[in-house]
Amino acid sequence: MKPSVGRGLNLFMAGLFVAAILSATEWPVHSRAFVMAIAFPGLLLTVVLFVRQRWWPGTEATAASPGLGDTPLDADLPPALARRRMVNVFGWIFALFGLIWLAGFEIAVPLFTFGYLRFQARESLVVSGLAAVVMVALIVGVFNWILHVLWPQGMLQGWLGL
Amino acid sequence: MLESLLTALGVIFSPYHLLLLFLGVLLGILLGAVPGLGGIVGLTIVLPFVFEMSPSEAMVLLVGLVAVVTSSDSIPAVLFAVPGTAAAQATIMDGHPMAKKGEAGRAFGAIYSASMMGGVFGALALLLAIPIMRPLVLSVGSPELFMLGIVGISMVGVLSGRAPLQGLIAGMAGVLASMVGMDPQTGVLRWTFGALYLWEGLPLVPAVMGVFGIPEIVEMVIRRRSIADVPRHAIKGILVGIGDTFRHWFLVLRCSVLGTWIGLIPGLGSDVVDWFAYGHTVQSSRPRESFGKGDVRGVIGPESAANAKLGGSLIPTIAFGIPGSLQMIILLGAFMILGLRPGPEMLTDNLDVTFTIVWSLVLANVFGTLILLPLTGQLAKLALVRIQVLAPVIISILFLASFLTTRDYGDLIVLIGFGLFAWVMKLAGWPRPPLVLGLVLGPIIGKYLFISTHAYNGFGWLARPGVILLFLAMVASVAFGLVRERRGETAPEGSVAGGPHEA
Repeated sequence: MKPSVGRGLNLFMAGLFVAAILSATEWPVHSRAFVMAIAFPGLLLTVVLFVRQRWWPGTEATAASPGLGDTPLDADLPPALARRRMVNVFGWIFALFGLIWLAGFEIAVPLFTFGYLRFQARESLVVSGLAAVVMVALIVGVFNWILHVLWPQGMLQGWLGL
Repeated sequence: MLESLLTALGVIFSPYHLLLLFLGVLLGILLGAVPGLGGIVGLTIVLPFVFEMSPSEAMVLLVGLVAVVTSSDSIPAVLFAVPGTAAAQATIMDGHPMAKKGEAGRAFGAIYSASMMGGVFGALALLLAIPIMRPLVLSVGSPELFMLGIVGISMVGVLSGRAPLQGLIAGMAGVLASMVGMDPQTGVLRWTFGALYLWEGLPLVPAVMGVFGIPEIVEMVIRRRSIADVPRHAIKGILVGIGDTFRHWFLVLRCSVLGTWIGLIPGLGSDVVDWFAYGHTVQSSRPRESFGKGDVRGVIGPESAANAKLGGSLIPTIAFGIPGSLQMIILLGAFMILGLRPGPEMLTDNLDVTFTIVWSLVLANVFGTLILLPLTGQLAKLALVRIQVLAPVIISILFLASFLTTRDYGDLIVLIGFGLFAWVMKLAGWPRPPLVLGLVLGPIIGKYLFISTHAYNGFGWLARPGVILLFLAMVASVAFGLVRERRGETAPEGSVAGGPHEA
C-alpha cells in the first residue's frame, strides 16, 4: 500500500469534519451542538494523525498488519494485475447498478449473473444459465410469490410503455 | 405457578403445537439466512394467520420464528461477510476469518451451540425476571441510555487495535453519518441535499453491507481463490466448535446476561447487542492476539448475547406492554389481535400463555440448533467453491438485500458509496468496525442526550446513580485495559485495521 492512500483518506476525513462544522453553523443550537461535539475533536484528531504521518510515519497503521477479517493479498501478485482486477470487479458492480436502473431487478440480476459467469468466470453455458435460472427463482419465486415483494420496473420498460 | 408451568409444557408438546413451532423455526431459519429479510418480515408474513389461532398456538408460531433468526443470520456473515440481520454484524469480525482459514464448520458449530445456550438463558431469565423486573426497567432512564451509548463508543479503542487514532476518526465519521436526515428533536434537515430519501437518515443495513460485504468480495475476487485459503481436508468439524462453546461456558454465561440485559432496556435495539458482547469478549479475554483473525471466542460471545436478547426484550413487552424494538411492536400487535393484554394479567389470568412463550423460546432454540447443525457441513463447503462462481450471486444478494431496506434506489447508492469508502479504508489500513459502531450508536447518543438535558434542564442528570455507575464501569474497563497493556500484554492485533497490500 502506498502511504498516500492513508494520507489521502485522512485529508478527506478532515475535509468532512470541516464541511460538517461550516454547514452546521446556521442550525439551531441543539442541532448544532451535537455536530460540533463530534466534528471538532474529529478534526483535531485528523491534524494529530497528519503530524504523525508526516513526521513519525512508522507509527501509523499500515495495511501490512492485517486484521479484522482482512487477509493480505498474495505478496507475489503484481500490483498492476491487482489494480486491474479491482477496477474490473468495481466495473461489474457499477454495471449491475446500471442494469437494475435500466431494466429492473427481475431482468438485471439474472442477466448480470449469467454475464459474469459466462464472460468473466469463463464458466460453461450450462452452469451460467443454471445460475441465472436460480436467481430468477429467488427473485420471482421467493420474493414475488411468497413474500409479495414488488420490484420496481426499470427505465427501459417505462420508455417502451410496457 | 408450577401448575401453569407444567400445563404450558403439556400444551407445547401436543403434536399440533410442535408442528407450528417447527414451521415457525423453519421459516425463521430461512429468513435469517437471507440477508435483508429477518424476523420483522417473518412476523408480518405470519401475522394474518394468527387471527384464527388460539393464543398458545399463535405464540408458539411467532416466538418459534423470531427465536432462531439470530442463529441462521450468521450463515452469510461467516461465509461472505454479509450479515443476515443487524444482529450478526460483529460475528463477521472473527467468523469470516475463520471461514478463510477453513474453519467455517467449527465457527458454525460454536455459533449454533452458543446461540442455543444464549436463547435458553434468555428464556430462563424471562421466566425468573417477570415478578421482579419492574424496578430494573424503571431504573433505566434517558441519562443511563445516553451513558450506555458512551460506553459503546468507548469500545472504539478495543475495535481499533494498533490504529487507535484512525479508529477514533472513523468512529466520529460514523456518528456524523448517523446525523444525516431530519433532526428528530428540532426538525432541521441535516445534509439531505434536497433528497427526500435522506430525510429518514442513512439506512443501516445497506451501509453495513457496504462496509463489510463489498470490500470482502472485491478482495476475494482480486485474489481469485475460494473463501477458504486452505485445502478441503483442513475444514475443522462442528464438534470442535461445540466443544469450544462448552470450554468457554463462562463467556457464554456473561454474554447471555449482557444480551438479556440489553434486551430488557427498551430503546437500545438489536443493532448494538452484538457489538457490546464483542467488545466485552475482547476486553475480558486472554490472550487477545488472535481476535479479528478467526478466534472462536469472537463468535461465541456475540451469538450467545444476540439470542439471549429476545428473552430479555420479551420481559418489558409482556409485563408492561413496552416494546423495545419493531419486532416487539409487531408481537405486541399479535397480543392485541389475540385479545391478550400485556401487564399484570399476563402474570395472573394468562400465566399459561406466558409460560407457553417461555417454553417456545427454549424449544425453538433447541429445534433451531438441531436443524442447523446437520446443514453445517454442507454450508462450510461453500467456502471452498471458486470465488469467481460465487461472486455474482453474492453481489446480487447484496443488491437485493439492500434494496429491501426502504425499497428505494437510494439504498443501492448507499451500499455502493459505503462499499467504495470502506474499500479505501481497507487499503489504507483503517479499521472499519468503528465506522459502523458510530452509525449504530450515533442516534442513541444524540436522542438521549437531548431528552436528558431537556428533562433535567441542564446537566443535573450526570449525578444520577445509574449514570455514575456506568461511567465508573467504563473508566474501570478502559483503565484496566491500559494497565494490562502497560504490563506487557499485547494489544489485540486482530482488531487492527488492515487490508490487502497494494491493490
